[in-house]
Amino acid sequence: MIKKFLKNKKADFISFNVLMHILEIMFIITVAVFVFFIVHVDKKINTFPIESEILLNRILYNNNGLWLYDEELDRLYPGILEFENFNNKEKIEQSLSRSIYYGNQNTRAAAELILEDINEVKEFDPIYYNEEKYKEWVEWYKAGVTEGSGGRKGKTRKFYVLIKKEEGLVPGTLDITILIPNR
Amino acid sequence: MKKRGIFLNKKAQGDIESYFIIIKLILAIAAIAAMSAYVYSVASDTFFHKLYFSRDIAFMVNTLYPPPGNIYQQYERKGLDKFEIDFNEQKVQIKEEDIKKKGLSFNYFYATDLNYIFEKYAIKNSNKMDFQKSSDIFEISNELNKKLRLLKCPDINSNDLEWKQKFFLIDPDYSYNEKEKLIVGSIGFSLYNKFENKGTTIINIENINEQIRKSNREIEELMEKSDVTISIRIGDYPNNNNVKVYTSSIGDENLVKKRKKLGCLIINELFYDKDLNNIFTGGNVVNVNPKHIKKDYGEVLNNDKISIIIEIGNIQSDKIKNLENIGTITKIANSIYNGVKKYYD
Repeated sequence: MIKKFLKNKKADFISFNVLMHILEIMFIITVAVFVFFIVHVDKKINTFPIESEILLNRILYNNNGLWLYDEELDRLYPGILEFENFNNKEKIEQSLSRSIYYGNQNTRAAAELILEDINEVKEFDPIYYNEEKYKEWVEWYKAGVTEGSGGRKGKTRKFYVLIKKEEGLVPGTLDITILIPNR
Repeated sequence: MKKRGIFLNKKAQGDIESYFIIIKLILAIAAIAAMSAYVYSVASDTFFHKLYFSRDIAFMVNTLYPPPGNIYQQYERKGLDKFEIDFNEQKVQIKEEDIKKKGLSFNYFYATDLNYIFEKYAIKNSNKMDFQKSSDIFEISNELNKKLRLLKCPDINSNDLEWKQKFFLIDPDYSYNEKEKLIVGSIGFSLYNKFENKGTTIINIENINEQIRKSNREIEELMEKSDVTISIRIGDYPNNNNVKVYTSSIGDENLVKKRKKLGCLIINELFYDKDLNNIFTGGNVVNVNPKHIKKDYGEVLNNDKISIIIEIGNIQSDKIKNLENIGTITKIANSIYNGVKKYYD
């Protein structure tokens, strides 16, 4: 029947030539997409260790509102956490976003910061850098999807800090979890 | 009889086939261009370079934001001159400079800090690029912007037209290191010669003719008598070759600001000189409580006058040998003097 259809030059239905054109176009698109992926996606360089370390350092050493800052001396005291700022979730998250700005749509990095008062054994509400993406990516990370172009790599580090409260400096820990999608 | 099918006649079908051929040609050209660019990148060994440079430069930007103070970093890599590098929308874009049409551009992301003004210039034909961060500007270019390295000094009036009549005490202090003694002593002596007031005194230096070093008691008396004390020393720490000016945080607010202003103006003068700019890796005013620092520093700063300690470079740095040159020593002394002059004028 196909043979008959192909031989029927006067057929009013879609012709063999047009069908071939469509197949050729599909083939070319496949090749183009393949080339695009070779060039832009298949980059087997793992820079996550250094990227995550740099991001940690930006959180720890930037004047982002987390740390005690002496305006008169223009001096930051990394390690002494401003509890008043930390408690103002909206303000501190906005400040973190401004100090590590990847554009309006940040699809590059996210972090969670959990503070604990060692004396009171009390954990405070976490604050986030790029909260929306963090909550999306953390599921992938927990599920172990860390390899390939859709994977998200993560790292958690604990830091001992001094929490500056009204009554003075109290010891605490700050757990920072960094998530970065593979590129 | 009515025709059936998608295309009603041969003419319409012919037209559609022509469109298909055009679309195919466009796609084929795009695919060939992409493949040839890829092959070109691999053949000219730029594929990996673009991948490496785009990431490395993005990491450099990310790394330079957090450190405090003014930062100057020169990035130099062999083979960088083959590429054109641009910075747009938090992305480093890198592509072949010479044959743009063949090269595929590579991008990598960096994060800016919106508390800084981000100024960038496209980098072309150069193996070097300069990163500079001052109090509120982050700049990337391939030319050193000297003004950007200058510190922002406290805004306080310190004018005094009679300043040349003031009594300056110059104190080139050194340990028993011969190299340090030569450098610090020469700067102190050169600076002393620039002040016109005959009452200005230099202490802690072996006078070339008389071989006299003032006693502690004489030094204390001189410090009491002086209006301004400028102590010159050399730092001793593992890395870099910085200029630090120590000032006291004790006293009323205006006095503290004035000391900081003098230190700040001296550092800026040192950095404004092109040759000195290349010798020192950074500079800052360090405002300290004299009771909480090492004893010999505290003794100079613990008073209610304008007293500063200038730490010129670092004895452990390789660059310290540049300070043994008499031309450099004169330039340093001139810069300190110009800083003082600006403070009062």
